[in-house]
Amino acid sequence: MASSCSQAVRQHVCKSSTILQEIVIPKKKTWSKEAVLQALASTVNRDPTASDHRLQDDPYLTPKTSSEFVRFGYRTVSGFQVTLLERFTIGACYGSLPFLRPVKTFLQTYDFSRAPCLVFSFRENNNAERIFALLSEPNTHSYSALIRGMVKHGAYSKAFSTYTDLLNNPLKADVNTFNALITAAPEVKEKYNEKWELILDLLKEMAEQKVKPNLLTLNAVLKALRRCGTLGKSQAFPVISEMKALSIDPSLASYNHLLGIFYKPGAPFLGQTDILQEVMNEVSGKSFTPQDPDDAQFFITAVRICLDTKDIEQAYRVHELLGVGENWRLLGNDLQQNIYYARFFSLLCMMENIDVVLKWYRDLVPSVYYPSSNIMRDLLQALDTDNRLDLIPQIWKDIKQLGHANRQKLVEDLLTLMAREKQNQEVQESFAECALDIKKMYDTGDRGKVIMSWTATSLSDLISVLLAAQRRQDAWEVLKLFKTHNRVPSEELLNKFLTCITESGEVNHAVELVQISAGFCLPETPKLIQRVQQEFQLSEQQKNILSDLEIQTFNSD
Amino acid sequence: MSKNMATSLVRQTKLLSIVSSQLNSAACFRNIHCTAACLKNRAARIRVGKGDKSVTYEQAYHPHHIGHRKGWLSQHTSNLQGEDGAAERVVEDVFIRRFMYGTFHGCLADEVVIKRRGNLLVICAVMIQKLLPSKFYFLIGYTVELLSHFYKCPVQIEMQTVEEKVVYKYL
Repeated sequence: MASSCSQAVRQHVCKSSTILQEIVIPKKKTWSKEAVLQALASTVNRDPTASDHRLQDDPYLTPKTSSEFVRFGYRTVSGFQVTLLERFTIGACYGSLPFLRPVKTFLQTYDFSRAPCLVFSFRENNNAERIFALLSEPNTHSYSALIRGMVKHGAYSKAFSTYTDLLNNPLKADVNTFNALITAAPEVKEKYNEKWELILDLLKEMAEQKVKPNLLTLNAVLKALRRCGTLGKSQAFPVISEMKALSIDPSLASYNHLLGIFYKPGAPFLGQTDILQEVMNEVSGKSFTPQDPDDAQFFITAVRICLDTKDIEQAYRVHELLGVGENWRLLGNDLQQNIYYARFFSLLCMMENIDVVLKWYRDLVPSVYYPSSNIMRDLLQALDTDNRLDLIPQIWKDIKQLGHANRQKLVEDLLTLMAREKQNQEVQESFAECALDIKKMYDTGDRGKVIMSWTATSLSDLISVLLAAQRRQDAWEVLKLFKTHNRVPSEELLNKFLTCITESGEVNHAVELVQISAGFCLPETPKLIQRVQQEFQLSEQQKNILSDLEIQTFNSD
Repeated sequence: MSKNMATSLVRQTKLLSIVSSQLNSAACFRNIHCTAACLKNRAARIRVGKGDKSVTYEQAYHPHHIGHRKGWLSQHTSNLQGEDGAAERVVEDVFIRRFMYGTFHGCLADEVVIKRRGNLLVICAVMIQKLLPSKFYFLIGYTVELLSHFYKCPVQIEMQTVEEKVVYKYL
């Protein structure tokens, strides 16, 4: 073996020596200071059992519901903001404040592009105009700020008239002014083609004034095209290709607007599923940086389209994109994150089998997402479809923890699912425990909690579950609740109950059951009486009671 | 305690100036030591009493047990050979402890532990579940922002809660 190895090596050496390869010495690679840390960080995946990094690691301080999570975030931030006030009072003792200087120099020297926006958020539009009028020499910068402020606050036609003033001055507008005007264009015209004409005019003027468009221009045009109906669909791709020719790469916001142009919410989708696929092809594997505030809408829009078209493959690709590089930053604030995960999860519940759904459930909840009660109902439906109703008690525990234990629809769905079929002994026991727990939720809860009201269906379901687990005493107590809450039991339920009582042989209960039925003046009372008379050994007293009831019901008919 | 120290100091210097002038004039050169008395054998020790005083682990063990049965409450590298800034760290620590005591008034279950990792200041506190979690988060946000502004370094709070103060023994 050794000889054959050495022979092979010799052959290989001969081969390589005959082929003279040019040895290319690569350039020295420089690594950044954090390269090692970044490499290590890339090996660490998200820990699904850990809570958010902004929270304290303590069970008392961990939020259980999404509302708590948001509230804790707000409380932390409000703590930050209180300190601003304190720092202001402390700082005022030490330094001169910028607005103690005279207003004019302030306006000229201070970053004027920011100032009107600041002004606009606190005061009315006219005040800002007055300040603008005070300026002796308005320049491009100040006009731009004014126009942008007007567009931001809805004074679109005024913005256009200010623009004409600017041109008459004569000054040139800058790229930000044009972006604002393009955003305002759909608002000032009615018809689709008029809007598009106006945008085209603006773009032409931009070219005339030798102003280079930037990414925000592209996004503004695409956003305006969303309001242009079918014209938008035909013009969207040409716009993108022209911008690409100018070496402006589309960001996630552009893709978002593109999806918005082609997939109108509520409209039927005819042959448009490939747009999402093409977009995902373009976007997959790339890491994006936030360049436009609308970038955060991309994931939500994409997952909404997947939900509407029931496309689970694309949804996985969208979710994968979220894992690439820094893209998680583009998921937006807590509310947007919640919406994204709600849509993603409900698509999963609809399309995938229960094992996959549960895997995602354990991964996402509650470390990243606190589901709402609707999503929990979707999850229950998924359990039902795949016949895994034995998992219901575990899900109920989660529902309680999330704070959805007092949502009537959800609880009623739970009871119905448990009561529908007879399960094996173990499962039935767990159902009975769960059902009794649910019953506690209906009782007068703590102050401030929403109290649910019993319906006939929910009561019957509860009793069926208890009877199936041989919990006759508990079932008996629940039966009494019918009277207290003014609900009428069904015939089926009473018959079932009677069968159960027959098994146990409690004659008193049987008679009481008939009395209850008579109390409700139910039409099946005579049948019940007959059954009791046949199946039980009755004492004299009981026979008398029954015959009285029989006569009563006979008379009332 | 500081007021007592100050007044006694003033009194003692007056006394010293009178006495030393008399002494010097009498050609006698014995001086008087006049710092305030800092009793090293009484600091951080809770004395044994009737048996009704509850005491935590930290309070039960005396300072000579530090390093043997207790850890350190403040961790920084200024006490290593060739490092400076120890005195500044001490002053910062004192301020931080008083700040935490006041901000989370009545909630602290035990002493605050202060750790410094590079530039980061980590304040570790064990709290009693006296306030609602949202109130805790508000105070955490407030403390972090104010202290980081004050000390010009990132500040992090690591909080743990207990239902009531953890009693080690009764003295």
